[in-house]
Amino acid sequence: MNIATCPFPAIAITATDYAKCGSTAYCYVEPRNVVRAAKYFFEAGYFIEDVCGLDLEEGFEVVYHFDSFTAPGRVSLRLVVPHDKPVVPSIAGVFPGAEWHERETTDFFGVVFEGNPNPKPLLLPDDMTLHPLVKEQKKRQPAVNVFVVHRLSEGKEPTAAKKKPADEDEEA
Amino acid sequence: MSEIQTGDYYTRHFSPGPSDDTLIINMGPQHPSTHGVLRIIVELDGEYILRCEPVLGYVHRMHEHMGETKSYTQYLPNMGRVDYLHALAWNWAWCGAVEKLAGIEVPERAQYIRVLTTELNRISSHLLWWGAYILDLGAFSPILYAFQDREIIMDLLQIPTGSRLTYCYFRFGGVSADLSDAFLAGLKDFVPYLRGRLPMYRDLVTDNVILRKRCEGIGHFSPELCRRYGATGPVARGSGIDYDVRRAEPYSIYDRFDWEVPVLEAGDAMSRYLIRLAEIEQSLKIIEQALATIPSGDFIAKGAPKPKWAPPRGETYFAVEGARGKIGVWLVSDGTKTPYRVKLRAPGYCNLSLFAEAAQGVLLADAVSILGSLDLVIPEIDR
Amino acid sequence: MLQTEIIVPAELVRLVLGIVALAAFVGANAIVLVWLERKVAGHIQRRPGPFEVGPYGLLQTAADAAKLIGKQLTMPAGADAFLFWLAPILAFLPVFVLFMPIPFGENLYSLDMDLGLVLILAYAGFGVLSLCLAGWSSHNKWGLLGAARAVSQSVAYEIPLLLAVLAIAFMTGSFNLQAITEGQGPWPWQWNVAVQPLAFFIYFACALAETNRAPFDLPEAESELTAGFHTEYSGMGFGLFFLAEYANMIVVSSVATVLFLGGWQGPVFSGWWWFLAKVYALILAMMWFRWTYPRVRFDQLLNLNWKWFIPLGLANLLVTVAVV
Repeated sequence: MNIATCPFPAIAITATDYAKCGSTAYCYVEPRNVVRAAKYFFEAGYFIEDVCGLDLEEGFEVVYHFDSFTAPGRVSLRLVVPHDKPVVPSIAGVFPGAEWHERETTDFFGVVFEGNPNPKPLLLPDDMTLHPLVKEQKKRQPAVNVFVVHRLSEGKEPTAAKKKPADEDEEA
Repeated sequence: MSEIQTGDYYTRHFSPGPSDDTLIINMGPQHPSTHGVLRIIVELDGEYILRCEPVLGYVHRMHEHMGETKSYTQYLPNMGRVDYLHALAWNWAWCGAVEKLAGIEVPERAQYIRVLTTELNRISSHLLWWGAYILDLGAFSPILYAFQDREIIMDLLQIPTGSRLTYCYFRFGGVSADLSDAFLAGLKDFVPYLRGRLPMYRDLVTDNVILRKRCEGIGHFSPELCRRYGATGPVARGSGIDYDVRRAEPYSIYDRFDWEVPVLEAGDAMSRYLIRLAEIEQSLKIIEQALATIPSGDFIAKGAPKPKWAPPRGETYFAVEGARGKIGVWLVSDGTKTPYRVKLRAPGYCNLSLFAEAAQGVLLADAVSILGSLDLVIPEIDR
Repeated sequence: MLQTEIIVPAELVRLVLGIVALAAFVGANAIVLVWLERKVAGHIQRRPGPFEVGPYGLLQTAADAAKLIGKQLTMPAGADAFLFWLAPILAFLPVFVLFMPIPFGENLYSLDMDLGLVLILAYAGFGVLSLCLAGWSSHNKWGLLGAARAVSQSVAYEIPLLLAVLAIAFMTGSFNLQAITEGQGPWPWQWNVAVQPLAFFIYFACALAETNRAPFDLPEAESELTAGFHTEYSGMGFGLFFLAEYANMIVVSSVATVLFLGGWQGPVFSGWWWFLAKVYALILAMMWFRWTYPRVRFDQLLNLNWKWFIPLGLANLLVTVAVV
């Protein structure tokens, strides 16, 4: 899969070294396109592994892991939303299994998944306003400090080649 | 008469359905067949379930936050507490993720030790599930037989690990202690012993007509349903999905052994039941081969990380096959002594999420059967 | 002084003595049976069962009884107090009536009546009423579900039970239990079970269902309904249901012994000991089933009844009538 043949609008697609990072590709999309991306993965026969949040200086990164029963090879679908307006369309309409993962991410990070059929706290109490995995401002790291992308073509030399999420924020 | 509490508080998020002669009932968190503290809000029409909704979080401990506050080594004991029934698989998932991130090589003997102990732990998990599931169906005795066998496993695993349930045995680059001769000899005896017991279980329990009537055709999951909800492990394999992480994303030395991934097409509770019993046999097969070929050598890599060690920055995803399905650890490191982010993918969480859809329209007794056939460990689901 | 001679009819003396003796018998038996059940369960499950309290754990039941009696009786808010406490009493009281016509030995009975069998069948119906009241008045949804199950189960299984019993009554031509006993010989092949094996099978299966014993323990169904109709009962409220269950086990086994197994007659030394031995053998079988089988599902239970037991019972009765 590359950016030219990608059937959904992606910002960047990086083929990665499966042996090192556990994914065959990172696929960055704008938040508004995530449902289209999920539909592609659904039709391509993938199942949803999990939805993870990550608190970075640039914003909340939401990572969807998809894998396939028949042709194993994890694909990680990623998007970044700003801290002050963390809203992502829900993919629970495509993968109903995402409902709980999204609710969990809402619990932990405060990321709102618009269109989740059951947007209630799942693991944390109803009256809890704290989102435990949101980091203090000074502890937040920029993406370049935590992501080392093992490009498949280069392989040996890790490079910080993550796309700057700043422009995504503007478009979103 | 005093004002009666109608329980509205606990079901306030569960709006009543269109019909007013239904019963909204809380199954749990202290219900005998929810195995701990799961609560399911059920709307019943007679004894038929119109809809239901699992309510989680009663044993939520925020393991993922603990991961961000503890050092890599300090987080090891947490793993045994996530899923106490297959603790070693979680040990492996965490150690494997860190090893993958830092590029630590695990010595040959340590790989064998990991396979032996993890498979043994898988058997004990399946045995406990077996007994508890039959208990859910109303037969009291088999669980005691399962416990008798499980007791031997716990005695065995106690020798290298030093604990009986919440093991913390794996280390980055190996395991904490070598296998003693007593363990190896005991394991050698255990394999034929359990093989001899399994036919008895089949004769006494599996072939019982009442049990078959309670399992066959109950809780049919299509492969499509499993895919939409991300169900893995015996639940997916019982629905005809040939997917086992040990085979699909090979890790460690599983590719050296001759074993099969049992798959059944039926997709009902009985097929999930049979899959787990078949997996016990396959695990025995792996153990037998590993015992025969275990090499001598180090049980932990030379230069294995010290407690105050910090891995390089980066991220990785590592998955292992637990007794309940695919255990995944997503680890993000910023190069400091504490992880930047730890995400634990619990298989039971995904497996349970399909329950609400699968239990629509079934009898309450069948819902108990379906719930049991999912093999739930609530601390793993709530994390 | 006016001499008044109080004439006490002999029947009354026998009745009063019988009731006192039966109360002692039921109480003692329940204690033995609870102990026995736990021992049987223990041995089936490869564990010793109770063994700490007294020799062979014999005093375990007494300790349990003391604990149950000492416990606080609680009632949920919103429950109907009168019905709530009536139910366990109603469960236990008819048991005495049920025992009265049963001939334990040649002369060992408290009431010799021609319609003894009818009396037992009539009063056995009280059991379901008490379960229904208990579940209904508990103000608990699990209790309600248990009560609904209890009613439909008991009502359904009473029919094949009656059909099986009627077949014997037709054969003997009497509802008098003593007469039915004497209609059979001392040897096993002279017992009614040899002539009416199907009726015996139907009777025993229905008896399991009527006493709510596994695999037909659906009104309790621990893993489904937490405890069904007695979810809300504590202390002796629960204790009475518990006692009633064991007393009912003795009743159905006794009736089975009388109807099918030749009552107190045995090949040698006929007497009440034969009766007790047969009753206990049946009870042990019931315990064995309980600790071995999973629970059937509710619709399976009713299907079994309406599709198999009732047609079979009817056919059996027709054949019996035709032969007689």
